[in-house]
Amino acid sequence: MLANRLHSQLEPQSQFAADLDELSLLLHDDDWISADRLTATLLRQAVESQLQNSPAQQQRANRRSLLTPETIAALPCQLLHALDDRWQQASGGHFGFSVQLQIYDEILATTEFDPSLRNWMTPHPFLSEVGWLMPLPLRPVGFLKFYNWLEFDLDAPMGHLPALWYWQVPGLYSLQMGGFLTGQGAGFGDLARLDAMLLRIARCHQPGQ
Amino acid sequence: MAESVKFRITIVDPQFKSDDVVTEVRYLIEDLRDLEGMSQIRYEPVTEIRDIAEIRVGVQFEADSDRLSSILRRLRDRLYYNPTTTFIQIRIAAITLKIQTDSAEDLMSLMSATQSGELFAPNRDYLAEAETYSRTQGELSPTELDNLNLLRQRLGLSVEQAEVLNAKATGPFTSQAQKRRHFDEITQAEFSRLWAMVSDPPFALKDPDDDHWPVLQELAENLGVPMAEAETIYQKHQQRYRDDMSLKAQQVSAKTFESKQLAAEAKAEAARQEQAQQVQEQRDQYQALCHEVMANDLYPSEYDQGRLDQARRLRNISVDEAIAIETEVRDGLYGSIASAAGVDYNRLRHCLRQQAWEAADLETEIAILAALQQGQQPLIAATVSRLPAIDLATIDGLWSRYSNGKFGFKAQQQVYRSQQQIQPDEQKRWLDFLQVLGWRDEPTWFYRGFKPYRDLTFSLEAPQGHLPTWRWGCPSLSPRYSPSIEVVEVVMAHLNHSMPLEAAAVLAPTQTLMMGGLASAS
Repeated sequence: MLANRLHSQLEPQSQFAADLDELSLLLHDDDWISADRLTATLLRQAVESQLQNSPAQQQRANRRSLLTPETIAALPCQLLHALDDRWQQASGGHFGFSVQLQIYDEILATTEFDPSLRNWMTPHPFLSEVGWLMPLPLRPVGFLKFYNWLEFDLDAPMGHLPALWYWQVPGLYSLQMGGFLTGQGAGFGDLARLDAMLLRIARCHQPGQ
Repeated sequence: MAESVKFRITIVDPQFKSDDVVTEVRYLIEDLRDLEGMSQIRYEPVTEIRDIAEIRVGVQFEADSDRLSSILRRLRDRLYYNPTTTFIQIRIAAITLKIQTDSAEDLMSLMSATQSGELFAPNRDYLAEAETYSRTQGELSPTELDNLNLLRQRLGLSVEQAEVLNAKATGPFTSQAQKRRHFDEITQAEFSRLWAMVSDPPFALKDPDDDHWPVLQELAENLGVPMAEAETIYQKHQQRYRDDMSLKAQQVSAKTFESKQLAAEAKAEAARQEQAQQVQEQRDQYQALCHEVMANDLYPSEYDQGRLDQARRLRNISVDEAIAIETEVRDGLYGSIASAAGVDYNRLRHCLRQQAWEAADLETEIAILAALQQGQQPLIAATVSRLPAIDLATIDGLWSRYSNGKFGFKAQQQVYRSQQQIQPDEQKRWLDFLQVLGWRDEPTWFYRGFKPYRDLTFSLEAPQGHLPTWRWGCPSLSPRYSPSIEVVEVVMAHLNHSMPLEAAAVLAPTQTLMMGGLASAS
């Protein structure tokens, strides 16, 4: 990891290209889970270098390498485009941020959902649409699947992946969300983070980005 | 004084026969005898041999010089009534006058000469001397006068007579200085006459040499002014005349040049003005047409675009200018979309005109993120200064224009200012601000009142300053839209700096009026 970071500082462009090549390889091998992990890693790395650039933020956010709404809002569009592009190509438009954004926008436009309901029993329809919700009423509805319960193949619902960027949350936060130190797994979906990522994707879709 | 004058008068008319001549002589003697004081004179006959007989052809006698004029008058009268060729010889001292004539007029001049007494010795001699003197220097010097005085005494002339003769010899101008002055005056008069002739328009330069010098030369001769001096005087005047002439010519040419130039300038200026006016008229007409076609819609229909294009060609307006006019008209009708960051506000304006508030709000975010040039990252404290005042004013102007002042940054500024006055605590002021704008509901015991972006009110029923939202300063809009306290602080500071409220307060009434006008027009 450290070596990787040093390397990326020395040759950021070529490192970026190499990472993307690796992602492409994984995706074409249908190794969806490794590809999802690499995607989450690349996003975390971007957040790290972002925090390095602004030390003031780094101190405040000592939950390091985490995708919070603030850090998501500052993710480089170039990276998001590159990741999205490879996911879409490999999955034939089945997976990727753009697909997720499309679903999100459609759901918001068509279904009546009030995110301010503060009713934890009512999950966000997007979560069920992309198949992230716990299928069994093991606990009251509205909880997310454990990460390893996700489907890592093209039979999964549209927009099912990438997902790890959403599941990776610190332990305490996981507990707050109702999980068992399992990230988002078995917890309520953090709608602010979800919205932040999809808003970021939408903003990056503006022409010229 | 009296002097003896010898006469010899003979009849020499060739038409007369001998008898006629004798008769004529007899009559002549009788005529002469009739004159006063002439009866005592001895008339000696003059004989001539003609046709072998000696006949009297004339008479000769001596008479006093006093009688001379009466004798001459009688002879003249005779010739007047009876023109007979007569030979008259008059000898006065050393002078002998001979005259042969048959006309009375010839004697007249002789009579006038005799009457002045110049023919007689003392006067004549004196006059001759005086004239000689006056000719030599043009005037009588004291010495010469003295000499003349001596001569007068010798000749026995009276002082009065001498003076008369002196005056005669010298002419009307007694001294050389006077003569010169006179010549000078005359020359001057001559040149002034010439000047008067030429100086009236049309002005023509005329050289004086041709006509004037010979006449003036004669005058100088007559006056007895030495030719050299006369020429000097003449040349002096001529020079002055020429100087005047060239000066005048210069003035005239300068004047004409100047007036020509002035005229040309005035003409050019008039032409320029006319052209400018024409261009302005063309522009105004085009502008009026723009107004007409844009009165109902931001962008003219295809038909109207054709009309505009035709009008543009017809009025010789360049494409750039036409675009400028159209933009001006559109901005006037629908609000300015000036930008210092190169952002295109056309879509925002269009959305606001359609009262599509939510779309306009999204367009506002797009515009502001474009103006920030920060890779579409939402606004944070570090980047707020990138927003140019012009763009903020444009966005505010458009929102406020189409919401009758309800929406826009100024409305939000006013709300914030009133909050500042009543709420000193920053945290509480922030929450109150969001609440007054309607971005946050009344908080309850376990609910802080934040709501998602999509639950905001996108209509004119919204509270004052509700729109535009500051979604461009938020990382996420759901489940709660809540610009952070930092963003609110820095944006408000930036707005107060870029568009001070004091200026807005002055502008507000006109803006409201304008909006009212627009509303009533539509």
